[in-house]
Amino acid sequence: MRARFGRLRFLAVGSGIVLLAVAAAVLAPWVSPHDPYRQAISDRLIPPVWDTGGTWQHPLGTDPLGRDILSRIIYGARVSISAGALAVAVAMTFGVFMGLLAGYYGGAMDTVIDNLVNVILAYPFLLLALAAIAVLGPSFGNMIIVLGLTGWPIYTRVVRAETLKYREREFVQAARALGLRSPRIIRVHVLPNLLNTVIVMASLEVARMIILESFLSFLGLGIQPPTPSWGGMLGEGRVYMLTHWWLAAFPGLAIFVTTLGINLFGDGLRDVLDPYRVLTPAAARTE
Amino acid sequence: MQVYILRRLFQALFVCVGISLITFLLLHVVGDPVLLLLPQDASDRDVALLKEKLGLARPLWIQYLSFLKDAARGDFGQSLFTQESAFGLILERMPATLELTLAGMLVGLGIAIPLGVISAIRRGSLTDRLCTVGAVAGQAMPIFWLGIMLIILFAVKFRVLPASGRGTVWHLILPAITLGAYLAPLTMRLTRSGMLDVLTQDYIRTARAKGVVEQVVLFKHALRNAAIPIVTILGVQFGRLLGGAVVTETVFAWPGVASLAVKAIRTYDYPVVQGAVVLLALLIVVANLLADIAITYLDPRIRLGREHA
Repeated sequence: MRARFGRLRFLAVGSGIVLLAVAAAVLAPWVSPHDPYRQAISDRLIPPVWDTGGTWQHPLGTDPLGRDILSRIIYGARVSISAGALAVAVAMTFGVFMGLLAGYYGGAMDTVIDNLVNVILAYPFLLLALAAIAVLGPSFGNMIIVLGLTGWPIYTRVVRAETLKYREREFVQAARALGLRSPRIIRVHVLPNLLNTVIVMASLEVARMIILESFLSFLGLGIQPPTPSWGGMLGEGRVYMLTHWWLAAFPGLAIFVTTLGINLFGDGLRDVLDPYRVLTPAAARTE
Repeated sequence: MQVYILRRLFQALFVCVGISLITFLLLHVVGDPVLLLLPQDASDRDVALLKEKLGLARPLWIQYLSFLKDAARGDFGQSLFTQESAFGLILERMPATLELTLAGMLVGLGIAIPLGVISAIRRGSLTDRLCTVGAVAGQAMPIFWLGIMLIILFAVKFRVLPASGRGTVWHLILPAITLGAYLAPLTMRLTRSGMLDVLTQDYIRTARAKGVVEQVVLFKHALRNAAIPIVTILGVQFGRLLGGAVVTETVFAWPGVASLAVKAIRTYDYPVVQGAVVLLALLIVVANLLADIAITYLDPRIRLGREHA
């Protein structure tokens, strides 16, 4: 019981962080203290407020072009959160579709899809994404496509296993005996049973996609300057890391706190949506 | 046993062919190497000449077959910039990558396994809860940021460790910690849950009931059985570890295969990209295969057919 409350506390903290990040993204023009693009050479490289030379005008300092870091981080939330969510939407849609096909129809379809999944899972994911971006050219849209198309196999694997299980259950057999057609059985009788699992997976994947997006932008293969993105800011800050630590520290902290919030939220969500895992002692141990 | 291993070998071979095909298609169909190599105002004649020279004018499937044939002999072509053999360039850097991955794995496992075992034995204690919180935080940590923060702290502020490059043991410390921190959280959670599963088994209770010393119960009876899921995961984790190496090598300017690949991707040196990606994928396949074989030794029950049970 106590463990369950502990988990709910995680869920609460996670939701709080996620809400804050989404609010920052949506309300950026109203809450950010400065224009994230406005350059002021006289204000360049001001340290954060608690350092000597810092000012409340720029609480987290400024970058080499004199742009306000706090404002750029607030605007950066737009890129990271939308990229994470969209990439997951693409991967999830495709992955679930393939998983349903493989699990429900079996046979040759299953063999082909399962082997494809094995190949993609064996591929050095990051290199695949990097190579694809380099070939397609860096842009927001390409990044979503690449992250989506490299991230689908884990959904397929889980959905396939679950579908195999449900395919043999009485209610699906009954639906088939009643003469329902396969697409309808999948849509009405199989898919709804998988939704909780998929939602939990997807919520945790958003964090992973945000980190990947940041890394691509960090390497200069994702969001292009001057658009503020956490990964891009971290990449720019890396050049100055020997002399001006705050340029790299704060954007990275933003990524860390956001993904931590999403992970706590996803873990908590699993307990709420999938209570059996918590209630049975054997399952609780695997947490 | 042999049948199982043969079947896994066959699967591995299939995966290798699949990987080479995807890499090849990505670089030759989605992107056009020639257009990226020549200046934008190059004439059609120049384009045709270069295509001819690079063997890119032939039908795609012939190109793929000759790529496969050459790759099997370790020939991935020449770097478009240095004219050196791509395979040679990659091999030259392989020791650095293996050194980093091994060191990272040692650090990761060195942290994860003891902490996972302690958490499981003292379930619900303060140590357990601290470890769990640490693991959750660790899983959310972008390691390229962690690497930079370590550099700022230990190389810039305290000036005790070098910030980048390879050479002495000192150079290895920060990259190994960074990579280890990437591996540790998940491994720790899996060790903990594996240990907890085993500790409730009847044979553990029997061992305790007949008065076996607790240390022997934990390390001989429990940890050995808990090792099965850990080894499985390690095989799968190897892919993640190499992904982590891409990040770590970039941040610390570590002269390994992954940083070579990233550089080649940026300059569109496709023979090098092709070679590096295929070889790294091969490493992952071999690691998975070894993990699978190791498990059949750890757990004689695992055989062909029961795998899907």
